[in-house]
Amino acid sequence: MLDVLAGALIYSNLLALLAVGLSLALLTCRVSNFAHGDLAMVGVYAAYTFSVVAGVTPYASIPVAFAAGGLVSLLAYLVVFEPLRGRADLVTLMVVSMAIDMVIRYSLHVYADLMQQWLKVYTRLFMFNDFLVEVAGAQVPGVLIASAVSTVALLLSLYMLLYKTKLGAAMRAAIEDPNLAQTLGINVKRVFAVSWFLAGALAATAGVFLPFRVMVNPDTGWSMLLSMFAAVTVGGIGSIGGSVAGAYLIGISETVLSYQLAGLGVSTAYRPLLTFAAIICTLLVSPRGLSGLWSGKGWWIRRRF
Amino acid sequence: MILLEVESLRAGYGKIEIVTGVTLEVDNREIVAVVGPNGSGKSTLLKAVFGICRIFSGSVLFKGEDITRMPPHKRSRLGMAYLPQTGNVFESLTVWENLLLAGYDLRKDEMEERLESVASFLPELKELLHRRVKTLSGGERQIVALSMSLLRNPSLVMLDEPTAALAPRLAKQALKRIVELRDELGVAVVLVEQNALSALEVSDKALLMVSGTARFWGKPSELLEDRELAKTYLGL
Amino acid sequence: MELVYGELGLPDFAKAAFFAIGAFAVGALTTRLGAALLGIAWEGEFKLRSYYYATLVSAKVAASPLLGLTLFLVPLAVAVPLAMFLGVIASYPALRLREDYLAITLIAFSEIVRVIARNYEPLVGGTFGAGVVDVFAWLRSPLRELSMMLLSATFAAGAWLLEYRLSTSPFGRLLRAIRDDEVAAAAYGKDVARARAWAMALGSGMAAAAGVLYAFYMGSVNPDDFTVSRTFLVVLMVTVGGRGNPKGPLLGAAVYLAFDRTVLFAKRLLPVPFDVNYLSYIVLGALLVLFVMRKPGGLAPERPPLTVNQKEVEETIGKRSNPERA
Repeated sequence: MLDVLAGALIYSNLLALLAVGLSLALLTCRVSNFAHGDLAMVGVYAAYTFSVVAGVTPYASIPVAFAAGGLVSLLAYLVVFEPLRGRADLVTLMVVSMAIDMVIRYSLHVYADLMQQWLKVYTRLFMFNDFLVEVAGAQVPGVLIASAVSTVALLLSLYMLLYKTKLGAAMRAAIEDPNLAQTLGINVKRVFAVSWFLAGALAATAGVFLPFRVMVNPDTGWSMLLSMFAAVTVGGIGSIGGSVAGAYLIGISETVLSYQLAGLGVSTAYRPLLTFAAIICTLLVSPRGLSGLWSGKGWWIRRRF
Repeated sequence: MILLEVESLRAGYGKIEIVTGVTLEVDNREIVAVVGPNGSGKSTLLKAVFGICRIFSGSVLFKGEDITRMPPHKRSRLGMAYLPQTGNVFESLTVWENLLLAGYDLRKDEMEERLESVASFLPELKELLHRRVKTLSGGERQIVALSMSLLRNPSLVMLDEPTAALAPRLAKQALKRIVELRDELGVAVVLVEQNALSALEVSDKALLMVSGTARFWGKPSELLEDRELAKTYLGL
Repeated sequence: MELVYGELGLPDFAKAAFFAIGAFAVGALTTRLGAALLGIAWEGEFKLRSYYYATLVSAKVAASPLLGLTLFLVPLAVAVPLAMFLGVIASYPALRLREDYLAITLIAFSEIVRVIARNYEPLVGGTFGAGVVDVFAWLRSPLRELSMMLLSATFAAGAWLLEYRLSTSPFGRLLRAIRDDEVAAAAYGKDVARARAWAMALGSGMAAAAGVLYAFYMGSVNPDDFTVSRTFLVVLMVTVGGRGNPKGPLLGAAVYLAFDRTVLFAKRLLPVPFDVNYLSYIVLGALLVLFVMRKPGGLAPERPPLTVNQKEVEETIGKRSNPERA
């Protein structure tokens, strides 16, 4: 049972980082970014490559992953999403993000094949070796600690950035009203670029923790999309704080529920059903998600749709 | 030198011309009222002077410099401020953050100095500083918006229907403040107003716009005396 | 063979083309449904047996063309209405959801269906897929292949014709109006919800028909054949070909097929250290992005089709202004 809980927490941490990035893409360019999951995979492969080449543990490669994910995301923004901002309708944007996903995902496939040949390591369905840490008498997987620390640190830093700095205020302003921000002399493009970089960086960092628990291949990010979208939907579209809350809700319930189901003899392949049900419930009951339930207080950025 | 000179301006959106040849002048320390029926192009005129809509022909000179093709943020650096009717504050941010953004490119000491001087002109500002704009009333928002424009120490402030969302008592207060802008701060004001009578009462020059053209340009008292114009277009 | 594939692409999106709502997933979903229903056509053990049954029945069909015909029509008759029904249901959430969120929800739903189909074996035999009867067993090849082609060609032509008539009809006008400005359309008293429901129903129905045809062509039904990627490919065809123009999806399908064949060909020629398929996906993705950014209208841009005969209009106007002529 403890292991299940640990798994739930780890998964939720990752989901939180991913959901926040997805929210940022949604808030700045109004795009439901289907390529977001792949950014996590970019992080995985970047970390993997670095750790093999430099001979260090993947944990030490986190900065590399951070940078790689950030850069890819930034590139996508600069080349595709910024030019299309305000010019393409929502569904088109979504379709474009699917196209970007194909480009990134299959490039990763290509890279995986090449990496396997050049570096002589398994690049599909591989796992990272973890170590156990003794905490309060129990054996805790290292990744739980690492992911928890990273998640808290990153989210806290993001909060500080957004709410305690001028740049953060500019980011929130640009999200609320890009035109007014522009008039005040704020370089909206530059500010959004920062958001996209961070979104990708967070996703990539989250990705690094995945292979410590499950086997990954380039498609893993894609398969996590449903959960990511669920987290954002349940938490409230347009609310970063909501996405975090949603992520934990979805993450924990998904893990725990599928564990229960496994006990009942139901295949864990049915796990997506729960996630989907969560989305439907939210949309029917409280379309604004969790953030619609709390109002006025707390940590959110509202965007009028 | 005349602060603002607009010469035969034709402006609009996309391919549509809304302002069809308007000429006006604004001197330092004077209030110019722009009045006229709905849809006559008053707002468009302001936008064109500030540079956020399309100028087809004509020219705009500010402090002697031709700014017809200059981007808005540069015009704002020259000392021109524009306060639209809506979309002039960030609702999800606090008043302080709004001001911070209005003075985005100011240095810390400049910012403090400017804030002090704006706060002395608009004393209510001090209390509102840490409130989220969303929670403010119409009149309070107006104050925030105005202080954002004043933060950069402009020589010219263009206001688009500042009293539109205000109750009569507050509208009166707003107009009083506009006069103070001219008298105490030495700022020139271009004021677009639906409430023609009040605007004309406080202004030094008046421009009557009808269907994109200037039907009257001169002393407000003369406009009020012209029964035909006043009645037909201003409902007075 | 290409025709069947093209047919798959054509119907789905010519509909959504007007909408930009993305009857995406409904398309994919109903295709799957159409295929799945074939699987359901008999009871008994699935998995390993279905192919056996299929062959058995196929043998029977070889003897009796009528049986073949029935076996073809029945699933069609069930799949299409069911799909249309689902399409209508799926259009209702549109009232509450932003367009792209609707699309996401529908896509998620179709994925759920796929997961269920994949794991719940009695439905379509799980990952093994279900064998499908060869309804043309009573013909010998090459007549067999020919009639398959003819059949799908007829379907495609039929679908296209329907599309074309619709797009020039008042209904088509209405759909375009809704796409351009929903609020305005509603303000003019047009029943937006109903129009949307109809559009989805038609699109779904066509997709289901396509699915059935596809299943017969393939000879088996496998849930993993119908993933989001397939949906994406169809969208690609429509976007590249041209939304809003009935010729568009046709063009798009042609382009895709040409590309696909080239890749298959190139596979044998190019010695690359990785799977060329990957490259093809990358190119396809890039292609879509390029088209959206440079030529959003697609290869066949939208031209407002004349819904009223010009002569008639002139005559009516003439009559009005000149009463004596009436």
